[in-house]
Formats: sequence, structure tokens, C-alpha cells
Amino acid sequence: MPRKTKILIVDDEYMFCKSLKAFLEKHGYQVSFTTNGEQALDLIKEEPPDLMTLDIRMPGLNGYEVLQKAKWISETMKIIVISAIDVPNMVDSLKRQGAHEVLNKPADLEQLLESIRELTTGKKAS
Amino acid sequence: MKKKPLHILITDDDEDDFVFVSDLLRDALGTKVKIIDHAASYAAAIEILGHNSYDVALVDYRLDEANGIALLREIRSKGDKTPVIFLTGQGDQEVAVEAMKSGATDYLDKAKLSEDALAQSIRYAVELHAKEQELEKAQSVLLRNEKLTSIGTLCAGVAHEILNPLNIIGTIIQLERLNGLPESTMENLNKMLGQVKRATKITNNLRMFAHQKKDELGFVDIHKLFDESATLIEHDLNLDNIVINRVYDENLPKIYADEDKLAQVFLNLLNNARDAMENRTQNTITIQTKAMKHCVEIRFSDNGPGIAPDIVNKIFDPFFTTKKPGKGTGLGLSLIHSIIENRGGTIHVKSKMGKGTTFIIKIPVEIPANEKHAQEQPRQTMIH
Repeated sequence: MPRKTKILIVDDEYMFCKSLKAFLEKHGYQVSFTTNGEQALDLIKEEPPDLMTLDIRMPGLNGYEVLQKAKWISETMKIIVISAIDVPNMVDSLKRQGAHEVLNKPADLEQLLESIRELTTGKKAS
Repeated sequence: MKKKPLHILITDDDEDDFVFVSDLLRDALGTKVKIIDHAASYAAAIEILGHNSYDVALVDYRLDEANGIALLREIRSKGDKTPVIFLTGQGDQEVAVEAMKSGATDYLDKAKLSEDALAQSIRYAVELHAKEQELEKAQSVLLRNEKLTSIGTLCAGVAHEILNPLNIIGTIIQLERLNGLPESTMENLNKMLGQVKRATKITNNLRMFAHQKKDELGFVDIHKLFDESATLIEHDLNLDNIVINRVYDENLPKIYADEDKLAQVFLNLLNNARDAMENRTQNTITIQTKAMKHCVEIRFSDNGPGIAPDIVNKIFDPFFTTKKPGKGTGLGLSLIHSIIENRGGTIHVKSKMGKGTTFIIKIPVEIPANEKHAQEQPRQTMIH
């Protein structure tokens, strides 16, 4: 049996982390979360997940800083930014800094699932 | 004094007095007067002022039906700001004081009327009126800008704070939908998600309005931009029986502007025209471009129901809308106004009830001196 895809959720909104975790688990992923940027980097160091969802505006270490540091820790980890910042104007700059996908809040979870599938299996959903 | 020849209305129920005053006027002002119209009664004055604009109205205080002050009050109550000079009879000093109090610019004793006195009084009235209008315009621009800045700051902060709770609500709803719930519950959850999307859309509109994104300037081919943007919604427009009619000036120069923002201006105007012409037949939107000496002029006309005169001055104000709840935020035209103004351009509206509305946009072709240097720098997206 193939191992489950591991996802780390990084967002300062606890309730969002909890509900997104439950949602992704129902779709067969192994999910952990943190509401803190520094802790996110520690978790990646300990055991890099296959994919991280990342908020941008967070107290303490913000999403940009996590993005820049994370790619030095794990080269293979995929990163999906999910943020309420004015995303349309930020997509290019976030992607240049290592984000593989950039999604708006409120998150369309079907779209998120599709992006996760594409990034972790390299295949488009049929 | 204004270089443009003057249009003057004389309200006097005495035909001889009218002839006397108008002769005096021509002697006093010569070619500076273009039109002298005559209103022979109170009612005629109201009627004629409602349809024409004058630089000055000379009003006989004693009119058969009512006095000049009542006339002055009535036209002011209709928003008509034409300067009024009273012509009084001898010994009407009290009347003169009363007239000045109710907003007349000057009063002249008919018995002592001279070329000089008349010319001086009219010159004064016209200059004062021009200054008042300038001041009024400056004040309204100031007020609007102040309103925009504070709303902008507020919107940017609030939008982010609202999107986060919406995100949580939306996520929980999408999670609950996985639980194999009864059909009626699923329907309710879908309705809730629909409302989350609605609130998101409004919040994003607010933010777009507040967004102080730096202009990404380049030379824009307006015709190409319009055609590309129109393609996006032309199909929908056709479904609403709306035809776009293009009257393009082939010699139109490119203008130095932010292409995305101009597209936003264009799409906003198209959408407004479409909303205004809903449920009507034979709708036309005409886009006319014209190369002027220093600027390009874009006329954007529809043959919709028009904008009522009492609200036409408010349409560029933030949050002013006549659309149904959920259909408009009242920010579209306000946004357009600030986009055009930021490029040193102007936007005006002309509207006739039952005939349609035309927006006239003028954007200068020259690059402002302080941006010539910036233009040579490569484009860059800044993180902020």
C-alpha cells in the first residue's frame, strides 16, 4: 500500500487549520498544522511534508519569510499559498519566490484538491 | 471678463422697458453680447431658464404675477445658479436690500440706468459667478479626494479582516458537505456557500477600490484594448440586445497609461450601460474616439433611459448607487474617476432622460515630466 501524502497547513487562523485538516483527511491525506511560522520551519526540518499550504499575513514570521527559508530546508516540498492578501497582483512574485500555486481566500477546496493532486502526482485530474 | 460672448436674459413685463434695457446693453457691451432673450412674465422666465443657460439674468423687480424675489427663490430652489441683477424702480431701497439678501448679485435703479453702470454690474456678476463655480468645483474635488483616501485606508484593512472569517465559514461548509447529509441540508449548505461568495465578491470590489497599486505605465493602443476587453463580454451584451458601435479615429495616438486600469474603466462603463438598458430593445453602445490637439477624447454613449438631473452630480461619489442590493457597490464610477484623474485626464457626463447617457473622457497624450525618467526603467512588481 502506498504511503499517504503528507500535508502541513500553516495559517494563523486555528479554526481554518482544524477544518481544512478534517477536509483533507477525508480525502485520504495525512495532515498536520501549525498556526506559527517559526514552528512551521521546525516541523519541516524534522520531517519535510510532501506539500505545505501557507498563509502570508501571519504574526511573527510571515508567509514570505517562511517561503524563502523553507526552500533551503526542503527542495522537494511543494508549496501552495492560500491567502487573503490581494493575490491577483502577487501571483508572479510569490511564484518567483518558490510558491508552486497561489490561491485566494476564501479557499475553493475543490480547486485546492485539484492543485494538490497535480503537484503531488504530476497528473491533472481527469 | 469672459472672452465668450454673453447670453443675457431680460425679464420684464413691460415691452418698452425691455427694448430700452436691451438697447442700452448693446451700447454698453457691443460685440461682447451675443444673445439677449426676453421673458415677458414670471412663468415665461421660469420656462426659459429651465431650458437655456445664461451668463446673467436681468430681472425687473415688479412683475405682474409675482415679484422678482419670488422668481429668484424659485430658480435657486431648482439649483439654477444664474447670476441675477435686479432692476428696481425709484425709491425701492428696501426692496433692493431684500433682493441682495435673497441672493441677487446686484441691483440697479431703472431710472438711473447708464451704459457704464450696466456694463460694470454685468462684468462683476459674470466674474463673481465664474469664481464661485471654480471654488465649488475645487471644494467638491477636495471633498471627494478626502472621502476617497479615508475610505481607501478603511477598505484595505477591513477587506483582509473580513476575508479571513469568510474563509473559515466557507471551509467549514465545504467540510460539512462531505458528511452525506439529507438533501435539504445540502441545499442549505450550498446556499450558504453562495452567500459567502457574494460577500467575497463585494469585499474584493471594496479592496480593488482601495488598492493603491502603483500604475504600471506603458504606451496603450486604446482601440486594441477596447476590442480585446469587449470580446470578453460582447456575447453577453448581444444576449441583452445590445450592439456595440465603434467610431474609431484612425489617427488616434497611443497614450501613456496603465493598461489594466484603462480596461477596468472600459469594462465598468460597459457594465453600467448594460445594467441601465436591461429589459429594453434596440440598445446601442457607441464608442467614439478622437485625436485632439494635446489629448485623446473617448466618448462612450448609450441610448438607455438616461440619468435623472437631480442625481447626475452624485454619480462619481463613492457608495452612490441606484442599482439593486447586491448588484452594485457604488464604487465603479468613483474608481473610474480617480483612475482618469490620476492620469491627468478628465471625465464628464452628459445625460438626457429618455435619450441616453454619454461619458466623455479626455486623457493627455504627453508624458508628465516627472514620469519621463520612470518610463525608462524596466517594469517591476513590488511586494508591499
